[in-house]
Amino acid sequence: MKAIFKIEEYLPETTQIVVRFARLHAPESIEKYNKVAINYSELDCYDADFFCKSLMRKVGDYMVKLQEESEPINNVAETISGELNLANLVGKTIECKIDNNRREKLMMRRIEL
Amino acid sequence: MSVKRYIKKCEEFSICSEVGDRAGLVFAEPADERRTLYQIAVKGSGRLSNIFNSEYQVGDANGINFSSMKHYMGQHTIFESYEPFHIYGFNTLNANQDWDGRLITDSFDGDDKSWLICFDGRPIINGVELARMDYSKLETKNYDVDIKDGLVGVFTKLDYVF
Repeated sequence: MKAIFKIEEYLPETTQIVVRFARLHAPESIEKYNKVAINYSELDCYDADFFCKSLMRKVGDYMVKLQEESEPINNVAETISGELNLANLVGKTIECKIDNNRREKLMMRRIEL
Repeated sequence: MSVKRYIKKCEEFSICSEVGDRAGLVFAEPADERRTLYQIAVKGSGRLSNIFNSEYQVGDANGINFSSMKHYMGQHTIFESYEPFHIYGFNTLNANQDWDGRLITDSFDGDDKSWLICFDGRPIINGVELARMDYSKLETKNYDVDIKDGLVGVFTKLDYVF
């Protein structure tokens, strides 16, 4: 899933930024989603890549997850447990979790010295 | 949030990274994936142990920020953070290939069995300003180092196997 953010205000006197988050494929404009003040001194401001990652880790992932969970459910699903019977599952809509335990690619740059 | 984990396979080694935003985060690594020879802490602190062992090793960006992890090779391990953290691991691609690693702070003589990796800061080496996660294969020549706020490691492939 891809996310987007928009910095609405930059407040260096309080080391804060005011940011909106949304999914890239969100059904509404990012302007329709809540904004939140974040102390950027707690983020990794080493460069733009690390900033984006730490911003999403610190706040963005949670905000996007909240938005997704507040959206209406169009598909009524049921959960299953215990012994598996594939034949009985045909035609049913089953709820499950999406886990992302994969390691992401670490960005590195080879240089000549 | 859970721990975010990253990895990059380079030419003769791999670099892994783990990032977490609070104390008490835990992640385990099974023995068959454990290839970390050195751990480098750029932020925060935590402890590492063999699973089911009460003894542990502490890593701290403001203290012991570069540690040999060779004694954990081939063992199940578990890490627990003491605070928000960001750590890197230098990994061998082959469990039988040993490497020697060290942090550098001053100018040094390189060789063609070594690689240099910038883990943090913006040091200047031979007139080139490095960024975090820049790396380079070294040659048999002198490297002029202005370390500034940098955290730079040099890793040398050893001739023998263990």
